Amino acid sequence: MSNGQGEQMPGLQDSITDAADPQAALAAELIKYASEANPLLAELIQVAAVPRKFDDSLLRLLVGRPPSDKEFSSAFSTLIDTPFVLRRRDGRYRIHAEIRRAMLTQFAATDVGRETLAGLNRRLADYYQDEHEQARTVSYQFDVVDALLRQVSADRVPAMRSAVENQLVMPLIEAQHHRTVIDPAGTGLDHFRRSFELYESERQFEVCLLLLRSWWNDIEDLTDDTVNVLYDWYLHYQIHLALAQKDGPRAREIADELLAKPDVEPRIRLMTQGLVTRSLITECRFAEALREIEKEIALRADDDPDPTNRWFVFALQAGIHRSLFDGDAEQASLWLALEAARSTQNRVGEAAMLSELSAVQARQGNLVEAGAQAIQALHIARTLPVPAAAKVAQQIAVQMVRSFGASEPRLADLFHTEATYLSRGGDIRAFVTVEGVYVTALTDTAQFGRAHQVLDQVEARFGDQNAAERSTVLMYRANLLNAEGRAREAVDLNRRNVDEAERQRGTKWSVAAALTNAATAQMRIGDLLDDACTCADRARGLWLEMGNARGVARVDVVRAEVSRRRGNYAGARAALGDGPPLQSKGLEENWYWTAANTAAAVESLDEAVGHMYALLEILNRGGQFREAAQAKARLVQILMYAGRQEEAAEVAARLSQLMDRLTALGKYRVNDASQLADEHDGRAVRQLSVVSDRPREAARSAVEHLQDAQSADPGPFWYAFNQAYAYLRLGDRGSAGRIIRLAAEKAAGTVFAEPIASLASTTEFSLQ
Amino acid sequence: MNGPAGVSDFDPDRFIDREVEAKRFEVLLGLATPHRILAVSDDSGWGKSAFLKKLKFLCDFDHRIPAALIPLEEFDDCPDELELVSDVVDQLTEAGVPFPSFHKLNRQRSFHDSGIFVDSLRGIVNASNASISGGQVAGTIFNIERYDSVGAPDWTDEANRQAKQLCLEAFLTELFTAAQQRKIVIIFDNVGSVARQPQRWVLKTLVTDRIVAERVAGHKLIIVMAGEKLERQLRSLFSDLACFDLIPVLGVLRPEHIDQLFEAHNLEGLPSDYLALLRHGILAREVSLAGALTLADVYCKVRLKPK
Repeated sequence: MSNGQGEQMPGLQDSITDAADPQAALAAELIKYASEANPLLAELIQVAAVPRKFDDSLLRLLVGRPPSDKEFSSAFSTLIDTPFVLRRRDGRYRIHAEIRRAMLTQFAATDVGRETLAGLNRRLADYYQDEHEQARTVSYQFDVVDALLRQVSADRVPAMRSAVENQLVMPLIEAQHHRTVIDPAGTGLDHFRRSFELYESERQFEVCLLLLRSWWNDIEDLTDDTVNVLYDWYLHYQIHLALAQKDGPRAREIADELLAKPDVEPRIRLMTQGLVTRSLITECRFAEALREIEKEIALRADDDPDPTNRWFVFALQAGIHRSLFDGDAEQASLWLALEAARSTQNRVGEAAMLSELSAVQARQGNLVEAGAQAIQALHIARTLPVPAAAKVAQQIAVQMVRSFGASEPRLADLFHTEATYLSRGGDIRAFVTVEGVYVTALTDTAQFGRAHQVLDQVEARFGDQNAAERSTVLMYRANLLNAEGRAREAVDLNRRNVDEAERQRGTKWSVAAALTNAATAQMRIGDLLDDACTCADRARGLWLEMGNARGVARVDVVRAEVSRRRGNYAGARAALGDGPPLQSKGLEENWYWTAANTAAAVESLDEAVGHMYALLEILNRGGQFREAAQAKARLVQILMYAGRQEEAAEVAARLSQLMDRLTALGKYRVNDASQLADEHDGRAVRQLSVVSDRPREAARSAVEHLQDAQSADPGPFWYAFNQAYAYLRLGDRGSAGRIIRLAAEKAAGTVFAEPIASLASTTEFSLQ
Repeated sequence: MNGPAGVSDFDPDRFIDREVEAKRFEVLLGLATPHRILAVSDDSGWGKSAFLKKLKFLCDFDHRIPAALIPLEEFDDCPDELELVSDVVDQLTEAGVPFPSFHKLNRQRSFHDSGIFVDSLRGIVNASNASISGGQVAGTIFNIERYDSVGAPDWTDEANRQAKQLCLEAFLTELFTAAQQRKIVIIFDNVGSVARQPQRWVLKTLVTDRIVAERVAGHKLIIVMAGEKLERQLRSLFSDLACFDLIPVLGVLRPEHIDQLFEAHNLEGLPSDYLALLRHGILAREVSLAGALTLADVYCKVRLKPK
């Protein structure tokens, strides 16, 4: 078979079979042959080995100098005609594993080769990243038109959806693969974490799962020291996935494995400990969550590996205390969170914590402190750069409705409008939160018709989507009906909520909560006492399974109330136990009501009076004026039975004052001028808080809107207050100072007067 | 150039030897032994993939047995069991094995509508005598009894995940139902490649749970798998290898086979001393078959091309 060219042949024996690294030698030999025929072919063979799959457009991107179309097509045809190029099931090509390995080995053999390889991988990562970004746009558009497609071309939807999903996932995985190849523990890990957390935040857990799997495939075979750390990250994100699948036990099992390892990186240990806490919060196991978050705080004690999020952990701890209705502990945690935010100059965190503290103070009836903290929070929100300002301002607006809405209906309207403008374009949960707190404020001030209108609008916006939020809205409506005295309708809604929770195969928590609400509504209606018991017993079983003592206590009170209403006072007392369950856990209201009425029924009138006073203290502290009026009325009755006439008269007088206040609140009516002013204010605050291509024009427009607001309704000081910040944005400190002093004058007599006056005297608002 | 996975491009005339190994496969097809899985190990580049293609070819054209050939390494960019199963289903459907339940469920899944999906599931559970357990197990989103009493849930990411599991179950049910009646071959190439989760599904769910644990008795399903370190992997996974026929390494080609191979690839113009060196390299396992053929091919294209 000799053709006379044997003498030109290189020494194959030497070059490959005897080589120290036969793979690299094989690659070198191959490249040498190809170069003789066509340098472009040689280059294509090399670069084609870098991606896991390729087509002509990808290789065109990878070659060093742009060849002519003809030149490239010819070389590409030759390449794909070689026996080591295989076609994949997706129609693209790949290099035979043996040859690919050889080529990659050859790249890795020299510094220049390694540098070239890294450059190629970077180019591939960028290429796939771009593809992925485009696929995200398409995927979003597909979701938008999905329903329409089903109507016009149902048969094609499955194939189209599959194509869209693949187009989204595959480039993401390839981009990640190439970044992992370049720098597994550095940019590779960072990119993985960013991508995973992006899709996690979008609740696209299937994408997270595939990304995690492929990332692990890439790192599993690494042999350097980083593999242990990467494995720990892998476990950490498995916990994320288990939580996404609502599998708390599995999440904690993996976390236990990870946390038991002695050499886990502090950052991973800390974040994993955080996930354990969050898994328990999700299951409403607050007491355990509290123990776990204390471990997390202890991990941060000496050398906090993640100081920027330190404030957030204290904020979370405050949230747990709030869920346990431990106001003092909540406040203590919030102060720690505030301190942590300030120590890291985290103004977003600082504003959020001041706002939370303001809410706590308001709940406890300390409106002056609440006002001062609210103004401090607002000052930060109005001076934060966009877009951070938008989220903070929205949170504060919600908190203002929550804190002051029940006592100042005008403020509920104003800040609801701001929150609405600030949450425009946001997700559905933000929308429901804004409308929910507003409905609560309207309910508390007896504006039932308006509250129903708001809920109607929310439901209309949902259509048949957003199951979780739909359930929340049902709950708001039931509470509203209850407040109106439409107890039977409230019962029906609570039943629907139970059905909805079951239909959604909701968590035990959601079903138990719905059952407990239903039982609580039913226990007040004579012919639904059996239903109340059934719901209570089912809920009790679920709370017990979850180890949620608070839930168990709530349904025990239902059982007691049912016994009382049936005249079984001994049974009621047995169910109530010796004292209010879980002191300071917010369960006392129903407990004291039932305990007082049970005691009154058996003529232990002094005991009944004691319980009623305890109940009143709780209600007054929480600003629940309507419930307080109801309790005072009953207290007057019991005092009269007890022969304590003078005391009864005193309570009746206080009841009268309270009724005057409630009547005044009930007379509040929104008018066109204030509505128009609030609209201008909402637009202005949005312009000051969200990103704009022309920030100065946005600030100027905000000034004008706030001027219009003051023209429409000159009374409130808030419009001037906001306008001062709009002027600050324009750098006009003179006008800012003038206007904030005007705001301070207008605020005279309110709890906000002093803090605004203090602000007006700061250097920010003076020309010097 | 080789074509897409499958044997449309497979040229039996270019395939040399491996008669011993092919014979072992045919013994498996006879179902006379407890072996249901042929596992081929060898280093990369020594002809495993070509051998698997030959087996697929034998099934398609000699034995007329429905067969699917799945290169697992191609799932590196989508490590999803359902993707893999869809590929198996497509190939077997084309070969005459229907998977109506799988097709129906998978199609309904893509509508992202729980009601439609549960309706399909109900029909399938009834039709298959409740063999798809997911339809009845309490706690799953698509529990039919709960659907009847409280209605269909909304489509969520978790619903999608569970729907995928039910599609996989439907596939397995239909596969083993069909394999009670007729022989079916599924061939997995590159077991041990980067697509670990699809591979885990193959080894755990299909092989361990359904074949090795003999959950499905009397079936005629033959699995062929190949991978670089497959033998070691299987020995570490299974204490009892009664179901397996292991080929730890493909047989050494004789010199004349190597010559035939080069000839079959139209490489006869190769200089004799060069051919001798390649032959020597192959016999000594210093150069893989794939490497040698590649070198020879490029050499012929470059050095022997008409001037």
